[in-house]
Amino acid sequence: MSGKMRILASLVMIAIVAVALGIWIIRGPGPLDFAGGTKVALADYRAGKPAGVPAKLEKASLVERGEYLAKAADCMVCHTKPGEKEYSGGLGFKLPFGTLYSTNITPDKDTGIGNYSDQDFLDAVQRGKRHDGARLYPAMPYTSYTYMTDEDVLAVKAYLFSLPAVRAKPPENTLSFPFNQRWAMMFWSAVFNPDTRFTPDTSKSPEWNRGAYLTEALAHCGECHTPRNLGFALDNRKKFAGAITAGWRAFNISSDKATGLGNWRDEDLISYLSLGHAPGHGSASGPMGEAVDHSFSQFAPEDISSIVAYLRSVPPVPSPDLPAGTAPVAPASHKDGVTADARGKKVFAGACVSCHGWSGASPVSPMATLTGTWAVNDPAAINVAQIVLSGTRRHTPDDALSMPAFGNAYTDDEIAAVANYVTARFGTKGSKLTAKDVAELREQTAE
Amino acid sequence: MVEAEIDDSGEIVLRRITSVVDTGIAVNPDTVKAQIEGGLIFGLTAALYGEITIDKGRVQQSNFHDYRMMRINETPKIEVVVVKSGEAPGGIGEAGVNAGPPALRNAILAATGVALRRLPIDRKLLAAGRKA
Amino acid sequence: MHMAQTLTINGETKSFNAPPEMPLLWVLRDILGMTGTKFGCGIAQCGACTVHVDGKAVRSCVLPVSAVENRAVTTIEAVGDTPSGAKVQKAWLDLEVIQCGYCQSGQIMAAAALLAETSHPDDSDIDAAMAGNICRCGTYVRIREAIKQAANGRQS
Repeated sequence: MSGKMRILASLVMIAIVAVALGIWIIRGPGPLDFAGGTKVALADYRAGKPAGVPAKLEKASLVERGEYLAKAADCMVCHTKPGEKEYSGGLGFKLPFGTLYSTNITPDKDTGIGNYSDQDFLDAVQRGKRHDGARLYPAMPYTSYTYMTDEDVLAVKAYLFSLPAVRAKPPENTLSFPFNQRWAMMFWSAVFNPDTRFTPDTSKSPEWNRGAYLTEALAHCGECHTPRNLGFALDNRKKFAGAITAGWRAFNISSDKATGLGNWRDEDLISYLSLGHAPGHGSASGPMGEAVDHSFSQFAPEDISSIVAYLRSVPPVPSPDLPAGTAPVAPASHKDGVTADARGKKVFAGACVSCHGWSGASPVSPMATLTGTWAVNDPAAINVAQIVLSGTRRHTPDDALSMPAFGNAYTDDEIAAVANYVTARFGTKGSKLTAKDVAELREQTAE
Repeated sequence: MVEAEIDDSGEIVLRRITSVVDTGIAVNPDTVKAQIEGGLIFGLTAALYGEITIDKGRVQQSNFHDYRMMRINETPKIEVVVVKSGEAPGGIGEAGVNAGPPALRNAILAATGVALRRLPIDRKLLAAGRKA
Repeated sequence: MHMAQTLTINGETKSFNAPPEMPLLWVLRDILGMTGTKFGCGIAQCGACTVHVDGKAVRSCVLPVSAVENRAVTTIEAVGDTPSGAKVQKAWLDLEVIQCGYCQSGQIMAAAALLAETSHPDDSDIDAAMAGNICRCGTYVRIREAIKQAANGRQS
């Protein structure tokens, strides 16, 4: 090799190493790397049964087991447009570079997944590869589902194929260049999809392992609660530290005491996941409300406990933009406490106070109590503005939670004003939302 | 006559309304006043919020969260003067309803120079017109 | 699921069967036949259904009946027996506040609760307590006047 060639080869090597290092740095650790224990193949793990269905469904049919797992993976919420047939797709995800529509996953042969073989389905769910070879966008959380066992993925398929076929073609995506180049997702996938199945950790309890499988492979909590890196993949260095998804803030669910779940009691976490409400912590709304209604509320109690055990082990990562705790109850009289925003107070007095009270402790239902919720303690007021815009309707056991959507009758200025008033009065620090911020939030909500 | 404040965002705050009504002989002057007060508020509610939109043949508004009413904290002082008259008594039922919106529209024109030609008042149009 | 329940309404003990999540308004109107309290919107936006629970104004259309067990409920039928309710009703009549009347039991309940807590409310107190009560006839001007008159005990 000539001297020139040698220099060139070294440069190429350096470039390759630099790119590899860059990718390694951006990619960061995997979702379970924090645990650090000894991993064994699932087949060799004897202490418990992390994958599959809970004990009461062990003997159930494949379709029934698939139904449990499909609910645990929360397929329906994203693959159903409100008002349309379940699993028939068409829900629009509004991204900064266009709208992405979910697909029809009913067994219709033309518009759904009726032609998918088992291998096709595994490729789609675990590898983000469509039947026709095209690449899926990671709005489909296949980098989480990749941890599911083949058996569980195929049980989900059996369930989906047991449903009535619905003929429904979702609208075409409206992504702009270069995001409309599906093939490019091949490289994204090569870097960010581990394409590996769940491996139990023998240093942890069977309960933890079950919780890890449910949380990471099925419930895909990190997809909303973990911040994203430069490549739009999950940044597990800040695992569960909270992020903004679809115009809603998914709060910190790491074990941080001040801004995460570190100070929640087990029964609060269990109650929040299975009912969507925990006394003193507020109620799940927006995407988390949907996750509770369609997914967590259907979990077996022992599976909820496993998730709680697992969440407890996630290292604390503080959210620096949140106050170190939530504000106490506000004064009972409208005259006391913060009343800075006159327009916000005016809107609050007319439309909000009947349910939420001047103190923030609801006179009608603990589920409507604002005191103690992160939403009103978030100085960015994202979820406050969102719930005012789009309301909430939760399927609780006694059907007790619903708030109307005020977005169509109140201006962006009024919604910003009421959010600023609410966060100032009931939270630690008032927000400074503008009409423009509210207009942007309207744009981001999935529909 | 309507006195109103309008800010840069198109937000409207009503300050005072004065209404003079000649209804002939006022059989019950207090009821005449009550009808004008209520009619003004009804008409101004329509001017401020009363939009009905139709999608696929159905009205989209369903309740007070998306079809607003003026509330007591938006209601200004209202002064009604009943003109003493010897004419035969006339109807008074809806007179205030018709008086409110044009009076507010003219107040907006006087304050901002924006000549609105549709109701309910489009806050964005008002804000844009005010900036222009 | 229907359950036997007992409530104290206007000082009387009432027993009935109702699902625990049934809003108090339905219990009052449909089960107990107390139709003075009105249904307006069903989403706590208009105040027509206002009752007192332990003296405080609450929207009965969104209040599960199970939430008022062991608490004192007062409705429009008996608010005239309370000192503030009696003052409010008198002022309402003196000033001829009412037009069609549909919202007025709610307005009177809200005003009576306000006066029970704040004997001399200023305009901002009236806004804070009454903005949740809609009146389609637009009687707001007289509602404000009547509350002040009830507070000051003036005769018309």
